[in-house]
Amino acid sequence: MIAFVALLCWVSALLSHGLLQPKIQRLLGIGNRHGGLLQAVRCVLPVVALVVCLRQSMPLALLLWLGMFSLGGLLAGGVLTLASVRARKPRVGA
Amino acid sequence: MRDTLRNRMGWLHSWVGFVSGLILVVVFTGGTLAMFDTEITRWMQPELAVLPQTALTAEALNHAGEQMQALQGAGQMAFLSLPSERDPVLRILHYDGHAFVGPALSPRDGADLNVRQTQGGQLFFDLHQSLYRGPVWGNMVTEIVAIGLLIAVFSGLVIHFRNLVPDLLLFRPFAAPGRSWLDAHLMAGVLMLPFIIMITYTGAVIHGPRLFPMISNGHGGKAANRAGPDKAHGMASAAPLAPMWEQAKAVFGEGNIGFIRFEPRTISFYRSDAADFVMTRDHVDFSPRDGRQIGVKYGERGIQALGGVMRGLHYARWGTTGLRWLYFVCGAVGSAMMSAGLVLFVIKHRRAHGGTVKLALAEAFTLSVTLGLPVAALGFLWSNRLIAPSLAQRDLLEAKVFFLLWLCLLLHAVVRSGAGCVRAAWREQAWALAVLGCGLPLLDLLSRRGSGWTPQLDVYLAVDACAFGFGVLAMWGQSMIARDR
Amino acid sequence: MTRGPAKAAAKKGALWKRWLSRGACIVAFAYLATLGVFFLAGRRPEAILFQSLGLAAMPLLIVVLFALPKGLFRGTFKSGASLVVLGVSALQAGIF
Repeated sequence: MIAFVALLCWVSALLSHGLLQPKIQRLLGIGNRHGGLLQAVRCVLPVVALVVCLRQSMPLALLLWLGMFSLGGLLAGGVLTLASVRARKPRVGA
Repeated sequence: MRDTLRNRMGWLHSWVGFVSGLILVVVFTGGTLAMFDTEITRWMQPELAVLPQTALTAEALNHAGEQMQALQGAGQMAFLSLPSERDPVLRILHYDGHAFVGPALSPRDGADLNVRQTQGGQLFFDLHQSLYRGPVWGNMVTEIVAIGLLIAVFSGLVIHFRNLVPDLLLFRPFAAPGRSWLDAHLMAGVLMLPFIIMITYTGAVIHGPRLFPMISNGHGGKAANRAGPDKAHGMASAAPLAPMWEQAKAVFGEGNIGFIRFEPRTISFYRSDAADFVMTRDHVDFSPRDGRQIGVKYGERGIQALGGVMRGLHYARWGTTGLRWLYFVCGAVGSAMMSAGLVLFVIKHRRAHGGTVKLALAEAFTLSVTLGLPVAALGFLWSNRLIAPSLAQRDLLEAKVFFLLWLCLLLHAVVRSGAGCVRAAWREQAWALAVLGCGLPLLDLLSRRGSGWTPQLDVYLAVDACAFGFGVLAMWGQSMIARDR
Repeated sequence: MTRGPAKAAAKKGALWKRWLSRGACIVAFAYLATLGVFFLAGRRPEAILFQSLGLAAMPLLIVVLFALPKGLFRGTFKSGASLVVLGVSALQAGIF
């Protein structure tokens, strides 16, 4: 459960981070909307994930937090890649 | 090309990365599989599938002790591994130069379970730590490439420093092949950075004395100069093990005894590696003559325990199944990241060196470590079920199948790359991976049919599911290559 | 027309050789420097800590030295740093 919550926090934080990047915004064809909210999510959720992970004993907590960053990053990257491929299709078709 | 910082770092990263990377992919893939070495060994001994779950009894332990005494009398060095959550049987193990092998005994009565002899998951452990080349040269090579990986990581960070955070999640599969491979390499590399640095550094520290043989420290996980059986001062071990086991449990706690070693003057009950994060070899010693407790020996404490911390972090034997899966996924993605780096290297050099023997060899080595190794690993699992269980030295035969298959795949890659059909070679090996991977659950089902196969969530299903998953991934990969992008 | 690419290739080849020889020097230097640290810390109770740190510092030192511009790199070696490292390692190893 702890790992799942930490993973969810990292995925959300990294998705927000991705959506704030100009290159990804261009790929998705979106503007810089909800910038403030995304920045807040990007800053707060990793800390929330750390607090959740710290409920475990020490080396495990840190390994879990860093491990969930890696897994969360892969998931968030996968979501953004799928979205960019979808966003590209109509343009290629046109 | 000018002599600038970026070019210098690029040269260092690409050449150190490629030369080390060819070995590192093997080391990382081996380590990833070795994370579940015990479970793979169980899969490779299907006779254990029908064994009912029972706790270790005093009768079984005493019976195993008698067998150990007989072995000790015959001058054989062996130890007794106690049942654990991961491996529910007693095992009399000896080191055959690559793996700890030996018969499995029932935890109920100590009877021989007649399991097939196999190196099991320990083949991958040996491949990981010494490339199956022994503890001196093999360890030294893996140590050198570990330092090479750290150099590649640091130089890669310098090259990519400016875009490290903004491009963290940038992957463009529709871009030119070079660009999309670079995106994949960077994304996986940066996301796995904490794991890669931790696992490489701890591995380098554990085997540090191999690179600096003139120093000795407490990092080495193995006792290099263990005394052999001392027949002149031999003391017949006649005392039953069960009372000693009870006393050892009182010291280290229930379920925390890992294995028992039989020395001429002592019988030592070692604390399990799974008992604590700091991996020390604490043990309780008993007299083999009358079973009297001689003393408790604790490993390093304070700053001296740093070696145990490094080993604990690297091996993760203390961790839960979830943590081992985390290591497994990170290791697999790390291997894929390095393979992407190797592919990038050959793509970059195709323009200048296309058609040369050097490049064909680089392409062939890249292919045989990226796809050839997983195919050989699956071939190893297939051979386990296809070679007769009672055949003498079948464990060595399985290992031979693994290495011969890998060699054949390397030759295939060399021939196809030399003929300029490298893309077809990738597809063919991906197909081999898909067929062997997707077919493994079927083989497991057919080969266990006689011994009462029942569908349940166990190590057999987990190994089958993983093989099937990698098979499906390979099938998708070959279809991507076939698109001729 | 062929002079341009040929010249560029020759220049690249020369640079490759220079970086390779620089790399070899740096690896030897970093190895000896780490060895010197190991020998210096050999008899201290916290030797294990120094040895762990040394193994982290060695690849870092290789990258940092490789990153130095040509002039600064030569200056570093000419300043006698390499002699000090060699001397410490040799002294501690009991060669002198």
